[in-house]
Amino acid sequence: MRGASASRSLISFVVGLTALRLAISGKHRQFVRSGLGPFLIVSGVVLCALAVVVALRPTASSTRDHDHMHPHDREFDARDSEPHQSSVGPGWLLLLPVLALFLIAPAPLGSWGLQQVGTSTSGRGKDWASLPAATGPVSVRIREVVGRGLDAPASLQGRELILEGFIVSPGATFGLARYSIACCAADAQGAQVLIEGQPTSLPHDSWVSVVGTFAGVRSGQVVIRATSVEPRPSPPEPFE
Amino acid sequence: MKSHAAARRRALPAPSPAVIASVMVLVALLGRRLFSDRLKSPAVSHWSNVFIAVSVQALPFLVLGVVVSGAIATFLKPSLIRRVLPERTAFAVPVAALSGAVLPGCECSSVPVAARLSQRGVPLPAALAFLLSAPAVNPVVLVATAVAFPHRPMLVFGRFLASVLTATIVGWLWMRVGVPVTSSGEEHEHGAGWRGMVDASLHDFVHAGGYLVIGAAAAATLQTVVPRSVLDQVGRNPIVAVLALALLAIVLSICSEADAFVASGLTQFSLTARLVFLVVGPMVDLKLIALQAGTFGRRFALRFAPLTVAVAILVGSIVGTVLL
Repeated sequence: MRGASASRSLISFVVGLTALRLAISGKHRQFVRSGLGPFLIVSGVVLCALAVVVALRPTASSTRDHDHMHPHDREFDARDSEPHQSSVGPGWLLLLPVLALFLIAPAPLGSWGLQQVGTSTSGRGKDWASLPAATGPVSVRIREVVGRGLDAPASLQGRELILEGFIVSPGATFGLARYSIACCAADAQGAQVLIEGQPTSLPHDSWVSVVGTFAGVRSGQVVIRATSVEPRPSPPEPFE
Repeated sequence: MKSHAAARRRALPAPSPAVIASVMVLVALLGRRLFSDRLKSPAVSHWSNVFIAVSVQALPFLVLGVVVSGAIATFLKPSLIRRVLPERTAFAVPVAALSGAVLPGCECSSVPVAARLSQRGVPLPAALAFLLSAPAVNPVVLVATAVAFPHRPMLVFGRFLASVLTATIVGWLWMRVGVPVTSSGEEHEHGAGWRGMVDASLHDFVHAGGYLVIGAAAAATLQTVVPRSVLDQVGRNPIVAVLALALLAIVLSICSEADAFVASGLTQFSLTARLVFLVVGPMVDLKLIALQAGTFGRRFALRFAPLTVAVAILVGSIVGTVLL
C-alpha cells in the first residue's frame, strides 16, 4: 500500500472513531443538536469502513494514488506526480478537531462567550400563549422568559418559575444565562435574566437551578426575584 | 533558495502515516496531562467549542457529499451527462442550477460533488451553478427556512428565486471571465466499480476535509476575536445593513440548514438584508472559500468568491425589494 493511501485510511479511521465516540457518549450535544447523533454514527461507520477496506486491500497495480482533482493547479500536480509521494495535502488537518477535543477538552460555551455573541431578545414579535395551567412552579427556558418578559409580561405574573442556566457576574444580584442553538455552537445565541433576592458566592459558569417570580424589566433586562438558588451539575445538553 | 523553499513546502503538509500515528499515540499518552490545564482560558475554550462544532456539524454532510461524489466518479458515464444536459453551456447552466434541488444537504456536500461532475464532463460553468444553488434550494433547506419564518412564505420563495438566479448568472459570467479551467482532459482512474468508488470517496473525504478544517478554524477565530455586536450596530442604514449581513454570512460559516434560524433571530435587520444573508451564506463563507481553493485551486477561489458575493448581494437585494 502506498503512503498516501495509508495516510488517508489512518486519518479517516481516526475521524470516524471520534465521530462514533462523540455520538455514542452523547458528548456531541455540547457542540451540535442532539438530533445529529444518528447521522454522526452513520458517518463514523462509513469512514471506518472506507479506511479498513482500503487499508486491508492487497496492493494492486490498478490502485494509483494521485490527485487529478486539480489538473490546473501546477503546484499540486508537480507534487503529486512525484514517485513514492505520501502527500495527503492538508488532509492531515482533519486530525486537528480530534486533537482539540482531546487536548483542550473545552467546557461548554460559558459566560465569556456572551459578550462575543451578545444576548438575544429574539422571541420578540412572537405571540406568547399563557403558560401551562398548572398550580405548582413551571419550568421555563430562559430565552422564553426573556421573550415573555419583554413582550407579554402579563403571561408571567403570579407564576412560580424554575430556570436552569449558568451564573454570570456573581454577587448580590447575578445574571443567569443559557445558550440556544439552531444547529451548532457556531450559531449560539445567549439569553440572560437578572436574579435578585438570593446572593450567590458560586463562581461564574456554575450551573444552578433557580426558583423565583417575574419582577419586572429593568434597563432592558428581565428581572427574576428568586426564592431559591440550588447548584446543579451541568446538563449533558447545555443548550436549550 | 527557490528549491529550498519548494522542498520545505513539499515537506510541510505531508507527514507520513508513521509520523501521524506516533504523534497521535504520544498525544494520547502524554498530551492531556501536559497541556490540558494550560489551555483552559475562556477564549481558548470558546474558540475550540466553535471550531469543533463547525467540524462536527459539517461531517455528516461531507461524508454524504464524498459518497455521492465517489459514485459519480465511478458510475456516472459522460455519455449520460451529454444526453441529459443541454448541449450548449449557456442552456446547461440554468438547468444545472435548478437541478441543485435534488441534493439534500448543505454546502459541504456540494463542493466535492460539483468537482466530480465537472470531471465527468459537465461544463464547468454548469457544475459551478449546481455547486452554488444546491445548498440553498434543496427541499431540506427550504423547509427549514419555512419553519424559521412561519409567517413569511414569500421569503422562502425569495430565497429559492434569488439563489437560482445568482447561480445562473454566476455560471454565465464564468463562461466569460472564468479562469480557463477546461474539463479535465486527464481522467482520474480509481479503478472500476465499488472498489473505485471506495478509493474516490476516501480520497475526496481526506482532501476536502482538510480544507473544511481550515475554514472552521478561520470562522472560530473570527467569532472569538470580533464581537458579533460590532455587526449588529450597523443595522440601521438599509444599504449598510445588507452589506453587514453579507459579511456576517461569510464570517459565521454556518450550515445552510441552520442559517434561516439565525436569520430569524436577527430582528434588528430588514427582511431584504436577511434574504441577502440567506443567499450569500450557502454560496460563500470562510469554510467554503477554503474548500473551493483546495478543490479548484487558489486562483479559482480568488476570482470566484468575490464574483459570487457581488452577484448574490445584487440579486438578493433586488429580489428582496420586489418581493418582500
